[in-house]
Amino acid sequence: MNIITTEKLTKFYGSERGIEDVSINVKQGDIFGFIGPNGAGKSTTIRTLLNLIFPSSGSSQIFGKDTVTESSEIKKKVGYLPSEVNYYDNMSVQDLLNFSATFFPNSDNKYCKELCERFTLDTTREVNELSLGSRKKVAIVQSLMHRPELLIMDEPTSSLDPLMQAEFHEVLKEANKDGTTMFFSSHILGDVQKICNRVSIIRNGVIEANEDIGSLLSRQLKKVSLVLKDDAKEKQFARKEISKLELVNQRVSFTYADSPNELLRFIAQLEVKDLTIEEPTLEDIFMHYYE
Amino acid sequence: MNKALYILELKRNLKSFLIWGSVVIFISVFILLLFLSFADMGDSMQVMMEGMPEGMVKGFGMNVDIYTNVLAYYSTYFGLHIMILTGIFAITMGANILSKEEREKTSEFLLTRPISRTEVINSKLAAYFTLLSILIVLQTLSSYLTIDYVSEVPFDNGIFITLSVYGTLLTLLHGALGWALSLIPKRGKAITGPLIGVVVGGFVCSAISKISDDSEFLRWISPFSYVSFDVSLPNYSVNPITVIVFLAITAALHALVYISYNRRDLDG
Repeated sequence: MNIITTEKLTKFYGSERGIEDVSINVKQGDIFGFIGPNGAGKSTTIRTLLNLIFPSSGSSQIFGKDTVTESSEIKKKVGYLPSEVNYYDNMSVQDLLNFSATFFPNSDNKYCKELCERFTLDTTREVNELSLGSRKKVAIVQSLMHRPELLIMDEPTSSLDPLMQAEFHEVLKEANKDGTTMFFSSHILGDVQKICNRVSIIRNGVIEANEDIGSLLSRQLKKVSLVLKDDAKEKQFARKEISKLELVNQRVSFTYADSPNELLRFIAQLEVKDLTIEEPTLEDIFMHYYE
Repeated sequence: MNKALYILELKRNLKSFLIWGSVVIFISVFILLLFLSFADMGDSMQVMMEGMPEGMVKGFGMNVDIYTNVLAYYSTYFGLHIMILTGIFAITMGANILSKEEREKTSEFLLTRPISRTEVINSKLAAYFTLLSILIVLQTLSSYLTIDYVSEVPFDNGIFITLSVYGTLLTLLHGALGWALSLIPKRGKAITGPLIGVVVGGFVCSAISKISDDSEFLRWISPFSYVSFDVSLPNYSVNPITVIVFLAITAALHALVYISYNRRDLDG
């Protein structure tokens, strides 16, 4: 069953394109990654799904209901975790959570408490005194406390420290097991790779690809930097898996597109003094596959 | 209507309500108490009033009987000081109660709860009317009791009621203007300055229009011109047409808010 369906969803701000002809399907139980560089149209898509802004053309449904005409009905079963968290001043964390809970018929107090504990959130503090990271934690708790059937997240891990990120991923996995479908927007490929099963890639407001995470991973693009014992020679690196090659004396960097085993075998033939293997950035992936 | 949002709005606006409410009631009562000393001076004040330039007397809506008749005295201050104060309170509260969400970027939080935009307006409108009604009732009540205290002769309740009805209509219209104007700027920018200008400017236009025939055209653009606080007019009483027109314009402005907000792209 489809939880989110968009058909040629388009939003123009005057003559400026926000998104154009975005068509995606998120199925029940998915952890759906929505990746793209900053300004690609991720937030515009989310804001349209949540009816904060109106589409210029096209349509979208959540739980089979129209996101414009049946929005408040849809939102009873949706959790939303914003990228930038803004709350009412002069409220304690507990006040805010209570306020939010009044809107949702199936708010779960016990689960809310559990989440606060897991994210080490002090609920007696004033919201406007909180650090960026703590605000994010409040946002996480309020997005999950009513056990939504769909959780929409916009850059959720920004401003969380690595320990909390790990906890957050754990909580997401549990919620997913309990039946929550997830829509996860991010510009960080690593995040998406860790937990998502399907992805759409958006750039300049247009969907570039809808993929299974498996096929994306099977491409296994890596950024490799080497320091060799002797000066590097271009012909040593003349292979079809290697692109974006740069040579400066003993230093070499390139993008490698094959299995890690192949990469290790290849490097093993060289006299290597130092080695770094990194995740490619989204831009690298776009450059490699979509241009 | 959403009860939680209604209560939240009452809390958020309580401080400003307490400040404006105290000022309005203090001024109403204080000015009326001063009447006691003017009344003692009696005829000499009357002579002074008669010596004043006609334009000034008309412009400020002063009444020749101002220092001998308590309702004439009250109407002069009510039509100027109190109307400007309650007008500014209503217009700024009306303008901020909805646009504040966008300005402080909390509309994203609020509207991702299961609540329709119409319910948001309903709840905020209810809080706005609650506070505004309390302000108007307290002002009217405190003024009535003080007039009763300072007046040595019985006064005409009908005239007091007419003043209060017109004052309420004007305040409600100013508030509705605030609601409607707040949806014009993008990103819910604060427009407090221009709003105060609307109220004070409206009064000034109405005042100037009364001074000479050349400036009479100004009366058309000011809400102050459509209600009269001149209690010396013969048969001064509530004109039903005025009531209907004011309420209709107020309702139309509020309807515009519902329509516009339900179609608006929300920033933040």
